[in-house]
Amino acid sequence: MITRRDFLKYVALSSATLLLGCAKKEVTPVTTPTAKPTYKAEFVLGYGKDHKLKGGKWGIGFFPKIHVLERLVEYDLKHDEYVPSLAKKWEVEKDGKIITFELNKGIKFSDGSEFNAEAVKFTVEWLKLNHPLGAETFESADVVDDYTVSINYKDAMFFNLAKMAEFHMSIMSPKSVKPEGDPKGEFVLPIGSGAFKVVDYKEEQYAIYAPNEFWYERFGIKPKFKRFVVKFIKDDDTRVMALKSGEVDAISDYVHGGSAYTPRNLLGPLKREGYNVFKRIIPLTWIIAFNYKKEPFNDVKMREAVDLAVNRDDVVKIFDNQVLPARTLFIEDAPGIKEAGVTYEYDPKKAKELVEEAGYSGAEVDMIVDKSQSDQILVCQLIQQQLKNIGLKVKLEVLESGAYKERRDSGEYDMRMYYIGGTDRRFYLRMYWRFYPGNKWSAYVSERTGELCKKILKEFDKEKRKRYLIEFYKAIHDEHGVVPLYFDIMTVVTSKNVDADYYSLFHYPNGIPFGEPLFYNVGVRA
Amino acid sequence: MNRLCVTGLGIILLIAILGLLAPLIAKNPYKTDLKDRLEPPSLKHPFGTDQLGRDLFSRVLWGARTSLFVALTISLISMSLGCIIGAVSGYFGGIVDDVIGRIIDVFLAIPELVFNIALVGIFCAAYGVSTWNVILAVVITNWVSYARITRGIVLSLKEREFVLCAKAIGAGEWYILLRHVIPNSIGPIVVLATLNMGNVIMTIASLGFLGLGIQPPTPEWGQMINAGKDYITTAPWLTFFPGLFIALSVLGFNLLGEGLRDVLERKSFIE
Repeated sequence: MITRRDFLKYVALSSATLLLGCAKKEVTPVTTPTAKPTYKAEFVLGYGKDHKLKGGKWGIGFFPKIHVLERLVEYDLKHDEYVPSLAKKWEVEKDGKIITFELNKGIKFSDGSEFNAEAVKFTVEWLKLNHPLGAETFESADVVDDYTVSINYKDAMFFNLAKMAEFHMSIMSPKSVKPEGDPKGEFVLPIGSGAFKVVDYKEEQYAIYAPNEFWYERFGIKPKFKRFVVKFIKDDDTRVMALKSGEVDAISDYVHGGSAYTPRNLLGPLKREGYNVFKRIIPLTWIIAFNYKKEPFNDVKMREAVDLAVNRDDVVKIFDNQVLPARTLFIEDAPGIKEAGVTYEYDPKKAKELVEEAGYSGAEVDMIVDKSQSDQILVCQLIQQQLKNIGLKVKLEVLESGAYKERRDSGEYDMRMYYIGGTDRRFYLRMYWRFYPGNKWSAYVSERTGELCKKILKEFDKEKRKRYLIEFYKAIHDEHGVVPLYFDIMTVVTSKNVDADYYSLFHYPNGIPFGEPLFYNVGVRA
Repeated sequence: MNRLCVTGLGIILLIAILGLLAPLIAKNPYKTDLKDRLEPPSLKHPFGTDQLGRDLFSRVLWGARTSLFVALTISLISMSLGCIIGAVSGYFGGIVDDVIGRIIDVFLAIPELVFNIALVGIFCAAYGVSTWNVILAVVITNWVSYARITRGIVLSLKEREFVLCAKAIGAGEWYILLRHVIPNSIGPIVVLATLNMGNVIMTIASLGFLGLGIQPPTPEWGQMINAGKDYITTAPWLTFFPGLFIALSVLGFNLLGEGLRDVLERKSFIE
C-alpha cells in the first residue's frame, strides 16, 4: 500500500526528472571541417539527338566530336583568335595552301596509344575519303617528324585554319577503323584524346561514356563520376519531364545549336522550381532569308520594308525573353560587330511607305518553314501579322523537312526562316556556307557581299580581316540581304543535386571558351 | 423522342451555333498581342491566350467553323461517292461487283490514318499546302465504308417486290436504282454518315496534330493541340479547350448516330 507521503515523493521525483528532461540541453559546439560532397558514380544526361557513334555521312554526332575527340586548334570568338589545342603552334605557308602544325607531346588517346603526326595524317586522309567537308578541304598530309605534320589544302585561304577548329575536323586515333590506320578501312568506334571514352552505345537509345583518365591527368583534374550516361530523348517536353521525374540529372541543348533544345518558355519556370539553368549566348542568328533572285524580293526596297516591319522585341517574347533580339547581324562578341556600328531598326510606318513605293501593297508572298521547328512556326505566324500591318499578305507554308529542303533548293519560295552562324567554332564556316558565292546553303550573295566574303575567308591578318568584316556587315545591311531576328542560346539545366558551374560548362580546363556545353566537371551529389 | 438523339443533336447544334456566331461573339483569332502571352483563363480571355497572345476562345470557336465545315464537306462527298459506287456494285452484280468489291477490299486493308498521312504528303508535294489536300485525302479513304454498306443494302433491296414491280412495268435499271433503290437505302446510310462525322473530325484533328492538316495560323483544333503540347505543363489550357471541343463534337455525333440507329431499327421492326 502506498502512503500519501510516498505518493508525494514519487510525484516530486517524477516532476523533477521530467523538468530536467525538458531542460534545454547544453550543447558543446563542435567544429567539423567542411565535408567534401560525395558524388554518385553515374551522371545521366538527357539529350535530344542520337550520337551516331557508328558514323554516318557526316561522321559521328557532334556531341562525341566535342567530348570524345579534340581538335588541333580551338577558336576564341571574342578575340577572333585560333588558339592551340592538340597543336602547340603552326606555320602558314603559301597563303594558307600549306599549314604545318607542331603537335603537343605526351598526349594519349583514351586507349593509351600516342597522339602524334601519324594520327593527324590518318585523320586528314580518312576525312578526305569519307567526309564531305574533308573532301572539299584537304589535298594531303605529310608527316615531317613524329610531332610535326604539314597539311596541304586545296585552296590558299585563312579559312583552312578556321576549319581546323570545326567539329568535323576532330582528330581520331588510327585505331578507330579496321584495319587499323587504313583510311579506307571500316569505321568501328571513335577513339580520341578528349574527356570521355565510349563504353556502350545503343542507337537511338543511349550512349555510355567513361572518363578518359589520360585527359583528366593532362589537365590535373579528377572526374566526379565513373559513368556518363546520355539518354536520347527526342521530344523536348519529354526531356524536361525526365529531368523533373529524376530519370536524368541534367538536360542539354543539341550542341550544334538551333534545334533539339530545352523549350525556352520552360527555362524561367524551371529556374523558379529550383533547377540550375545555365545559358550561353552563341553567334547563331535566326534570320528571314529572301528569295532575292525573283520578285518581289529582288527589290531592295521590299527587303528593307520587311526588315523595318519586324518588331524583334515581340519576337523574343515568344521565347519568354530568354533569347536576345538581333539588332546587329551577330552578337557583339563576334569580330567587328561593335566597330561596324550597324543596327537594324523597327519602323513600320516607313516600311509601309516602302511597300507602297515599290508597288507591292496588298501583294501575297509565301513563307516556308520546316515543320520540325515548332518555335519557328510561331515566329513565322508573328511575322505574318507584322507584315500584314505594312500591307503584305504572307501565305505561310509549314512543310516536312524533305519538302522544305526541296522548295528551298529549287527556289520556290519568297521568304523563309533560316540561321547564320552557329556555335563559336562555326562562325567562319557558316560565313562560308551562307555568304560565299556558289554555296547551296547560302542565305544571301551579291557581287559586293560575295567579294567581301571571299576576302574575309582569305585573310590571315586579324586586323585586315576585321576591316573586311565591318564592310561586309555594312553591305549586308545596305542591301538588306537578310533580316536578323534573334540571337540563339545554348542551355544546360541541372537538378538541384548536381554540382556544376558556368565556367567549366562553357570553358575547356585550359580556359578556352566553348560554345558547346562540356560535362567534365559535373558531379551528382549522393 | 429518343434521348440520345436529342442530347447529341443539342451538343452539335451548340457547337455549330457557336461556330457560326464566331464573327459576332469572338475576337479576331489571328490578332497577336505579345503582352498577353500565355494568360490563363479570365473574364477577358475565357479560354486564356496562346503563345502569341491570341485569344484562345476565339480560336476555338473559329476552329469549330473550320473543323465542322471540313468534316461536313468530306462526309457529303464521301457519302455521295460511296453510295453511288456501292449501289452500282450491289445492283448490277457480276464483274462490276467483283471489281468494285476487290477495290473496296484493297482500300480496307490499308490502315486509314496511315493512308491519309501518305496521301496528304503526296498531295502537298504535288499541289502545295492546302485545306483541299486534307479533304481529298480523307474522301479517298472514307467513301469505302459507305460503298460497302450501300452494296449490302442494295443486294437485299433489289430482290424486294417493289423493285420487281418496277421492272415489270418496264422501268429502266438506272431509273430503278436512282428512283427506288437508293432512296430506300438512305436510312442506314444517314446513320453511318452521322457516326462517321465523329471519325472524320478525329481524322482531321489527328492530321492537324501531326502538322499535315490545315496549316497555321488558320485555327484548327488538332493543330492547336499540337502547338500547345510544348506548354502542357505551364499552360495546360492550350491543349485542354481544343481537346474538349474535339471530344464534345465527336460525342455529339456519336450520340446522334446511335440515337438515329435506335429510331430507325424500331421503325423497321414495327414495319
